[in-house]
Amino acid sequence: MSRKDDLKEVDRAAAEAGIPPAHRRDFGRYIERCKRKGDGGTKNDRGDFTYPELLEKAREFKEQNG
Amino acid sequence: MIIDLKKEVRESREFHLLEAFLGTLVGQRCLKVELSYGGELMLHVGEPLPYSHPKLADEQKGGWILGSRASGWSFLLNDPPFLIESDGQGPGTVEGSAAHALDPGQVEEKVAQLIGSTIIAATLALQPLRRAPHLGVSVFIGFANRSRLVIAPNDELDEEPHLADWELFTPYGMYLRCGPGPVWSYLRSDVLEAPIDRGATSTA
Repeated sequence: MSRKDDLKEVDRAAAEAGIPPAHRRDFGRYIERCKRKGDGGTKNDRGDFTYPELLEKAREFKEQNG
Repeated sequence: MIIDLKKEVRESREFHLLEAFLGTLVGQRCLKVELSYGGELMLHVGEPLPYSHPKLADEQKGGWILGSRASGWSFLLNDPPFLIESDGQGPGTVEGSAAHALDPGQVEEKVAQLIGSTIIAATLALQPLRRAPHLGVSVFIGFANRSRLVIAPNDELDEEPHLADWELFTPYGMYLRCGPGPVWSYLRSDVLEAPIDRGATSTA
């Protein structure tokens, strides 16, 4: 999967969770931090996230932001 | 020329206005450079601001943030000297192997030399591409410590919905999205709207 596809999935998950662009940008930072801390996804051995995992993270991110 | 930085602009091809928007970075100091998910480069400049999200409360962000999206980027760092390329392979790596993958933490560590350095140049250039719409807009940033950053759209195919080539978030609740092609919009960043979607061939 290309980098473009990865980012499109993040954008789509953020939009589906109701996250506007400025927070979508912050969401990208948040999930990158999760990856680096070992709380990554199961898509590959680098800890990338599957779409359902991204969507779950996006909804969680949105809820926690109040 | 007077530009209202809180007013939306949609689907513009006015290159001089795009240059003016990017020119707002000149004179501002680099706060940090980070790699976001998907290898997207984020250059934070200007006044440090807190993140509103509790999960990021231990970090600060810049009032202005330039994001590379999926475009290629490269740093020519001055002191100590390093060349770092998003899509390049380092010496001794085997083509096609994962060995050339950038370590985000290592990149951020090396690029930290830019923290506090003032941006002295921010310019744009039209760049031919092998994919539709066959033209993109590249960004060149020069720092006072004589380092440079280039963000350049790559030739990777892009199917709908199209991804911007790069974005610039401002402290006014707005962001500029450029591409694909030499087309840009300046939109509210605090509201969700249907993505702007134009056929890649229509912007050629």
